[in-house]
Amino acid sequence: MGVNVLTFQMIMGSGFANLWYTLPIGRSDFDPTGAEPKPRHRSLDAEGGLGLVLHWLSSTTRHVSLQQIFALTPPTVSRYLRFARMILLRVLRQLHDARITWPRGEEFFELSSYVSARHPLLDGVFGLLDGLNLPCQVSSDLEVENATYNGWKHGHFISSVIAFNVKGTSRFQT
Amino acid sequence: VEPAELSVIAGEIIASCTNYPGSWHDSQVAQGIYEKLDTETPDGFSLVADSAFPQGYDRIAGKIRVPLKAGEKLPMDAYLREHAHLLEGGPFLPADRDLGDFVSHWRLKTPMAVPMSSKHVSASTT
Repeated sequence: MGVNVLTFQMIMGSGFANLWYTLPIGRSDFDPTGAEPKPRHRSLDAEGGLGLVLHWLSSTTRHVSLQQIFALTPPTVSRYLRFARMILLRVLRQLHDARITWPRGEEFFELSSYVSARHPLLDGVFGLLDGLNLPCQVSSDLEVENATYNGWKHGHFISSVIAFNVKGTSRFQT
Repeated sequence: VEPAELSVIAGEIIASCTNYPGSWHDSQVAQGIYEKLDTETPDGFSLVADSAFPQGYDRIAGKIRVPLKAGEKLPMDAYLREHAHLLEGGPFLPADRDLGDFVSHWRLKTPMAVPMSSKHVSASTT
């Protein structure tokens, strides 16, 4: 779960660090007229910023815990998360390795050959499809609460459906 | 390498429909993927899903394959009668057993534990 050091460094070097240090972090809640950007004043360096947003993305940690781990005040955590999410998205959109693309042409044959190598009877299968229901907080807004409630699973979720191929890396548990 | 040693197998994501309300059915969430199966996938190729997954509308019939549910009876249609020799002492076709095995190896899992108590703390909008 999470990203490895290599991926972390790749995201960092592909523009995250550069954007982190050069773009102003919005503070509209503090000064609606637009506080003066202070690119040199950061409570976290770029590594810290990426660490913060990845921590938030890949766990169910509460903001309070993030404030303690990263030694930040509540508004700073909120602003940094928002800012880091924005520049992370910008970086990932430019990264070829991060692209989600449907196979084309010959790729269907290549992908299905991986499946039939292990399961010879599964002919022409180029990937898998599965739904993923992530539990979410019960909103105090009744409409949101109702929209996220799944009667079948008796809980509140955010739903996704993901299609994936089997061309990937295997990791071994030691 | 013995398959048992493989603990995590990572594929590459080829399509995703994310952040839909939890009350939505998978068939609604997956509309974009059905579309790709219909218009961008050559005939004869298919995706595999678990037996609970909705297989979409008629135009993509056969492009989402699911294993039979446990205890489900095979429809004895002409095709199956013709291929009855493939039956192997159980209610599953060998291809189907392969399918079930395959799917169970590649299921998406909820990546993080959610303590039940924290779900009911009223949301602070930050």
